[in-house]
Amino acid sequence: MHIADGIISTEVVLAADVISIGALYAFGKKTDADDIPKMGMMAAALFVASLIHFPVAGTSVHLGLFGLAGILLGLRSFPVVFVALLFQSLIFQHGGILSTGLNALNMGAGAIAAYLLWRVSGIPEYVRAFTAGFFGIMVPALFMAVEFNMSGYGRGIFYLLYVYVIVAAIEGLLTLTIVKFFRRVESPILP
Amino acid sequence: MKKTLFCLSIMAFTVLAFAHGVGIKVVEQSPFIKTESSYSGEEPIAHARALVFAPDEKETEFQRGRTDAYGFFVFIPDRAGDWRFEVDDEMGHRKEIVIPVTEEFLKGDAFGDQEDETEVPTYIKIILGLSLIIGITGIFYGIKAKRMLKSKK
Repeated sequence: MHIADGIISTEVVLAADVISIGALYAFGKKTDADDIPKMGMMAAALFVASLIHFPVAGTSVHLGLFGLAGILLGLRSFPVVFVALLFQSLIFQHGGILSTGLNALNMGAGAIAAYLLWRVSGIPEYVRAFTAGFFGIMVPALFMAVEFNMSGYGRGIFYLLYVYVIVAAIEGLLTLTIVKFFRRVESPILP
Repeated sequence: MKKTLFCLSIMAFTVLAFAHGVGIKVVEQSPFIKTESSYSGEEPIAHARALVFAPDEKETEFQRGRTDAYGFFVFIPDRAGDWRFEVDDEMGHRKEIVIPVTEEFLKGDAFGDQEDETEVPTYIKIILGLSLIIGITGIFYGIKAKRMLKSKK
């Protein structure tokens, strides 16, 4: 899911970087002091979550925790995703440095989609948790496929979405489990 | 809040044993160079696009093809210099390395292995990343707390 440099066309990367920096400012400004430890720990969790990888359909995929980030942090999840990706790219060469904005846009969009789904009322909480986790992965996968397509990879790249359905289902179950745990321990962190 | 932060910390630290990234191991055995591409040195990058560029050549590749089912790709360099090898699974994972080829190697006198992931162990990188994130969080928290104290005064 982490796109390396030189894969997506320069125009798309630049546009995504600009959007990401704008979103970083918009969603990161006026952060409450109480939110900062939560954001830091979530950034640390995201930083290492993508290191859990497993093979699916000829490629290697990994966990993201973007759904959980969206649920716990709301719009503040975007700067958290950005920071985690920046360090992953600098330390592990996991995703390109110039593509950090692009990757942040993809995965940050997943976290924000999860946040919006989590806020939908009238649906049981556990269904919302699973859906948030599921779309926390599927939205970035869709963005990624569109960006590949815009860079001339052809429609075959949408095959990626089938691969990521499996990851998204695992992520949905993991998010559901974590939300259930937080609810059981009556954690105030869960909105 | 404390329980939640503890839980997130546990989530962060329980995955230290895993790693994900594209790695390339190079086995040099004159006259050929064999590359072994893998995800984190575990899963082979099978049937991925592989490009080889001769020294000082940026545009036209010397050789192109695909890795085999085990992530191997072999080529025979014909001159000394820094050769560039690139592997791309066309699903976002890509790695490029430089393979220095010497005159001795071309003459069949040199053998050796080169692993590009051995510079810093993965667990050190994880600790470094976590330390930086926690450190930055602390700095921001300190700044915010200072501002709050000032506004209260």
